[in-house]
Amino acid sequence: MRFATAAAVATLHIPAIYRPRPDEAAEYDRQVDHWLAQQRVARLSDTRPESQILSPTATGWSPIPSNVFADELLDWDVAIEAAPIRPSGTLAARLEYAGRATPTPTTEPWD
Amino acid sequence: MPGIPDYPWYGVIEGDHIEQGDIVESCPIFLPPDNLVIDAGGKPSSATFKWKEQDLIVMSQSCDLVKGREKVDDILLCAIWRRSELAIDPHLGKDSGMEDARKGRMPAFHVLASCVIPGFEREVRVVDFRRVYSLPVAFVRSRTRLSERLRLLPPYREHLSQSFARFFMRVGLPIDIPPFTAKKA
Repeated sequence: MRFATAAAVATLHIPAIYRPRPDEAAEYDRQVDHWLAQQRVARLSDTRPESQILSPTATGWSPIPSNVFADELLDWDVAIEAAPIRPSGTLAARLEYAGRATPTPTTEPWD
Repeated sequence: MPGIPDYPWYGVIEGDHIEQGDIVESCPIFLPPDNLVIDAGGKPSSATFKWKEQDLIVMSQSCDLVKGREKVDDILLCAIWRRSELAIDPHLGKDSGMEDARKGRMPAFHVLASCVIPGFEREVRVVDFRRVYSLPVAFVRSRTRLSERLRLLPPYREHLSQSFARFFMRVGLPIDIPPFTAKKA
């Protein structure tokens, strides 16, 4: 049985991580893109900063952020505070207890 | 115009078959007193209810209201106001406010077109989703037997229903994400 020792580990040869030169990297990217295009596969992300990825790149778009946001156009709070006056009156009612409400039997649950 | 199908907003309906979009005009709604106290099982008690007249539009689904096969006991209705009744309203009393409502920028309201059917001429009206009522099916049926009425037709009916759903399902966030505004130079 052999036991690894610290000295043995220290002598292990670990190859350096291969890093292509910039000109090689560009060529690899080109080949990958070519292969993806043949397979009709699109890259889902890239290494650009997120702000660039999310920003429109089409020419003609204004680089200035719009000062109007669609959501802000909606006024959820507006209400008719004072309802228009309609005919009204009072009604004397005699209240009789009709028992506790009961649910309606479900005959066609999906209808 | 030839080639363009005719999609009328309204039809005139007679009888007590009720559908979503039926407009029940001058219908009484009943308001119990604020301090009403009733004793279940006790002696009958008396109270004075207020009632008021209201133009209403049926919001319940038509399939729940099929006569003889009703799936609900009460009909859900929303108030509708004539535009002229809103003349003093700070928002809807102005053309700009009505235009905002027409464009759907005020989710609490839905604008209905005017009606030019002879005998049923009506101005533009506004459905008020904040004023919702329910009345027993039998009570509303009895009201509809009294006279002919207008019915909002598809697709305007579904448009109304969708607007109501959008308003009703709104969710307000307690802490919203700050707006993404441009930084000042």
